[in-house]
Amino acid sequence: MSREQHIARTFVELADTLVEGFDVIGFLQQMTVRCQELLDVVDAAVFLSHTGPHLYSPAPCDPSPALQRVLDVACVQGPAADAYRSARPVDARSPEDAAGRWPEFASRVQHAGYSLATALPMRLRQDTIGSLLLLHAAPRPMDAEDLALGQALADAATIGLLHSRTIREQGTVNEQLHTALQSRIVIEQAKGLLAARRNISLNQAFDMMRRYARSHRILLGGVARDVIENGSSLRSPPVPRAEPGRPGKHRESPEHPENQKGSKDRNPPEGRKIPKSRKIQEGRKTPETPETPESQEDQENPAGPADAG
Amino acid sequence: MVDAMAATVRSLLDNLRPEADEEERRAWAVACAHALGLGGIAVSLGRELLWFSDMTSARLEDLQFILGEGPSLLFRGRSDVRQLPDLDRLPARQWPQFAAEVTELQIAALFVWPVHIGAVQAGTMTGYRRTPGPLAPRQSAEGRLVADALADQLLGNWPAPAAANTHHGRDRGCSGTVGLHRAEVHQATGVLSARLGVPLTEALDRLRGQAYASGRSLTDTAQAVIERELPQ
Repeated sequence: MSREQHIARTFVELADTLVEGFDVIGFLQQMTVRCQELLDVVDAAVFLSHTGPHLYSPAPCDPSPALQRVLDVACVQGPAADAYRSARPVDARSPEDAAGRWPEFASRVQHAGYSLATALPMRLRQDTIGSLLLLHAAPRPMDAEDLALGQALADAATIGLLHSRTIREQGTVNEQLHTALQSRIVIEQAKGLLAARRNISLNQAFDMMRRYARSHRILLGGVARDVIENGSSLRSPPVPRAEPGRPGKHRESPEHPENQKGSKDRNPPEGRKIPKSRKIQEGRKTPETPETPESQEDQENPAGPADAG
Repeated sequence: MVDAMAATVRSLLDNLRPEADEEERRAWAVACAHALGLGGIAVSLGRELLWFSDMTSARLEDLQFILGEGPSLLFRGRSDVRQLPDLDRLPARQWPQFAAEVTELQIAALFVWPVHIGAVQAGTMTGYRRTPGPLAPRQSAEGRLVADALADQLLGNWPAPAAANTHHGRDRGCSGTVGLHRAEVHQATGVLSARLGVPLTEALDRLRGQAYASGRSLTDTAQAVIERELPQ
């Protein structure tokens, strides 16, 4: 694929957010990967603003400890924080320039093996929702062409994010930022659970979750929920779940309810194939009931686990 | 001081200091309630009432715990705001005593937001209004923003319930961390949950208890758990 094709495809990808079950974390992670591929940068990270003046990095990349230390300080000091506040691209002319402006940030950047950092605002008209941090190996600022492409990617991602299906249904930017934050936390909790269950490192646990998501074609967030709610150690295929709003391809056909019950050993009628996933679904309760009206839900939630503490 | 009427939710969040004392927290809660178009808000963590803007809100929370009924209870598993826009039409059989008491308090509508820390539902934020009607989408979403900010506060600054029983006074040991945004805190919660065989909510309480008891920050405590329990 030529560079032009790659760029074109990336923009299409960044606009493709009107899908059901849009995964904001996966989207942002994908964007950082595209930055690494298309721009002359070693690493990229997205920062969003939610709950208070500080930024946070929502994509649960598994950075080296050195990069993690860069990201930690970048939330409060450095080009990412400045680009968010000013809604303009921010970079340093040289490592010395950076050290003078952001001593703590610059020292961590050097220590992690990068030479310079650039940040681009993620903005749409008057809304700035965060920034994109790009880390370079070369000790010189990004060239104008890369800078323009980087900003175009950041703009496209912002538009994609703000026009995703979630946001069209819920109506506000805050909702999207809330979702990003909470999904990230759920994934981190699942990483910890899985790592402890299998006695592996956090990075290995995260790799496993990503591979599992890819090979079973489910969202990373869905994998995390499976780990948390169903106690999965990702050793077996995912438990199919009833997805609200997705008209049931795998639902049991209404016409023969009797035939379907307990028919595990019975052969399907001639010429009809029961899809694999339906077989699994039979005879078990789905872990999550789709949203139901208020009154019903109250009855489905008897006291529940006692409040901790 | 923030101007309660003019302040937007976002600027209010920028002004929420981790070390705010009781008086400041109350003023902040009043400003938030007004920005959200509510008469008042109250925040409970577990069964503990932590923040409230006014006596009516505090009374509402107390009532539910005393009576053992009301919309803030039985809230687990929900991720969206629960709206009771017209309490006159509240099914009386559902919360008979609670319904009688809210009429007494002249409250027309109630809204309950979950306070989430990922898969942990830490508590609820309850707001009331004296006029009936649902929330505008913006109010509902901004309420969620406030709930997230409060989760951050609760995580970083509040002694865990277990520790709170043994320590009295206002010494919070560790404060000022940006707890909600620190990955290691959530990872360690997961690790403790698996190692101790307890739900995430309890694991998080234990983590906070450990931090409080040792006087170390939540982040450092979480890092220590990860290093101790997992291969690196």
